Amino acid sequence: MAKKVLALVLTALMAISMLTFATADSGKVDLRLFFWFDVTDLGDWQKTIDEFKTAHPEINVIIEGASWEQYWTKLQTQATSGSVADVFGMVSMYSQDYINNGVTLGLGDLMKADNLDPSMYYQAIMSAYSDGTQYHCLPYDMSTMLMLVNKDILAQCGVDFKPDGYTMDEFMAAMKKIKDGGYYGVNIQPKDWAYYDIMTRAGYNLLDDKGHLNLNQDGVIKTTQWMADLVKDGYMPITTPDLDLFASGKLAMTSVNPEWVSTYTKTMKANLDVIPYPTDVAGGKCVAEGGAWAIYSGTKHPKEAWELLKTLTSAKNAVSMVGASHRGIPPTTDEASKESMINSPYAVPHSQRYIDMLASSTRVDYPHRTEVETEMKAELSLIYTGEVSAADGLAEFQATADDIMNQ
Amino acid sequence: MVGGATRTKAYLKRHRNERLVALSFLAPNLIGFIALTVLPILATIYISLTEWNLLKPPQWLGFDNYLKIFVSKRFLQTLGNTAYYTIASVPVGIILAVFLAVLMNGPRKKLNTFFRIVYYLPVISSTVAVALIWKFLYADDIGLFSYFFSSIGLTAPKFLTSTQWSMTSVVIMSVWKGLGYNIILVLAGLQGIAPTYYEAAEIDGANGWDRFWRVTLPMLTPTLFFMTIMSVISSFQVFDQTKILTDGGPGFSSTSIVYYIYNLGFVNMKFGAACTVAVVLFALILLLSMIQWALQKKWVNYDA
Repeated sequence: MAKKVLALVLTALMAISMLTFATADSGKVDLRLFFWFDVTDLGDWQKTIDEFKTAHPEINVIIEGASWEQYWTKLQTQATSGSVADVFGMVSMYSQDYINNGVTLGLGDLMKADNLDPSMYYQAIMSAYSDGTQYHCLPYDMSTMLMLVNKDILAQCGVDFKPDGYTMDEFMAAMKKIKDGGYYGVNIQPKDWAYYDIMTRAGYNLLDDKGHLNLNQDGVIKTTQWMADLVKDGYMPITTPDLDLFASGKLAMTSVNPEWVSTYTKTMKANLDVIPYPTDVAGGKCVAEGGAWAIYSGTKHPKEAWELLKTLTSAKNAVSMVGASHRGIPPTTDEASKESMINSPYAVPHSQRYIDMLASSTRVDYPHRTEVETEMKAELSLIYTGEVSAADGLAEFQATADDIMNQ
Repeated sequence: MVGGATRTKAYLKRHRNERLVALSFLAPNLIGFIALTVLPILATIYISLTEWNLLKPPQWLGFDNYLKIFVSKRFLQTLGNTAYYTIASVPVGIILAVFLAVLMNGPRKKLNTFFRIVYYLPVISSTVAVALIWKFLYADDIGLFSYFFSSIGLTAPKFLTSTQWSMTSVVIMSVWKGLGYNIILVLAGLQGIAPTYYEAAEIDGANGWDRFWRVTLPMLTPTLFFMTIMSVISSFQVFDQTKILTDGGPGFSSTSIVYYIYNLGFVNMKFGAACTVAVVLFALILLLSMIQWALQKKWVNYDA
């Protein structure tokens, strides 16, 4: 009986070993490309990838996708196991974590060899992709926020549309008229980098001398309380669950990046346009973040990966993939890139504003940013729902944030 | 003597062979158990003694993570949230299940079958899908519950956007979703009670309430004990509902311990701290289960 069992086990082992076979060597280089593709996204990128494959028949691009949230979990586990894709997507909010931990390949030598001038990109975003001595990522788009306005609702409620934006008093008067007209006025309840954007536009410096985030300052508290009061006064809906009041025509204004502008212009039959945030302060800076591509530091094909990365972040791709679809702000400073966004079929009359703002853009980055932003998001949700005042909430948040940033 | 020694050898050889055969049949399950359960547990304990962000090798910390976690206000808050969830959902779920199961154990078979199907449908539905639907039901201003309240002249509570109601809203949804499963367990327990007990009780002059309190409930205690242990264990592991309904907010008012582990590990990339909380959770669930096991002698009746 034992001999029979042993024979069975050995046979099974042999069968398993016969089933595993080596891949035939086709002579092509296989490059893995990993990104947060969704159904519409992949279609946009596929054109660029197909053009690359045609131009480089010796390179086979294997596309791997995941949803936005799953992407970051998968990327972390791939980094642990040393199996990151040769070329992978990155964003400016998280790039420093990956650069500082050696996941990305430094591009200095490759850029020098090809005479690739980084000044072709907006410099405001490039600091996110540098380790201080060389760049590790190249951007494919940038993003900042404006107020998207449904002009039809404004007209219905007797509110004048001001393309250059409203002062605070004008804005509050408009909100009252819109509310009396039976609509919600605005939705601005940011809990991430868009929150920094509002504050820097209002002229506040969010970083202290140590380069740490400081939200416990009078102006920031006042502006945050103003946003919370918009909810209390009925001008702003409390967060609705995935039900887009703007898309269903119940909300007059909402804070959006260019990608959301195109989402609404594709689906809504309304007169839309973008304006700056209401402010009494001139000269404030906008916060710009963006998407990028990086090469894995452990790739076996750095030269081939570099060729692909150059294609994905080229001015040509910026025009066709980013600008024309109004998916984001093209990160390249040439005129064709700018015009592609303004002339996009999904642009609104003042889409130019997104590009104009980049001239005075900035970034807000500090140690342990992800962990601090988890706390910030939680505290801001309490402030916007009126559970705590902005003064109390931001004071409590600052104490927690200081502990984290001082680790 | 020689014959006896030879027979002993043959006996031992046959038993050794039988052990080998048994081992070969158990091997696939054992290998899977060791690889997918034991080793990850040991790895979790090891990682809890380190600081690790997945991107660089783990850095040994010893018991520092454990010392920090017990004074962390966020950990204590999520522990409190989870305890509230358990205390609220387990008794309510069991009491409701018993009540409804007794009603469904009556003589009207077709009606019983209909209600059993209706109550079991949420159990087999995806938790994520159910949570998304409930998110709309709970929504301020536009949700169905808000509409019902306003139609009778009342203002609905802020189910998902107030710290007072957020966790309670998660409890209500979870009890609704798990009710069918508990009902099935209680029904199985009810149908295992011999009718002779009820006959004897009737002869002794017991009314309906007496029969329930003095026959049904004591005979159900083994089932109730099982349900209590399993419900407590699963309530300490609640995650999907809090993630979808409230995202752990507002503030951290509905963040459960498992959601806190997820945040620590996959959002803040602090896997050492996440594993520490996981180990503490494991110890807590083990302790509670042992306490319940010890207490069963006092209230569980195993008389057939």
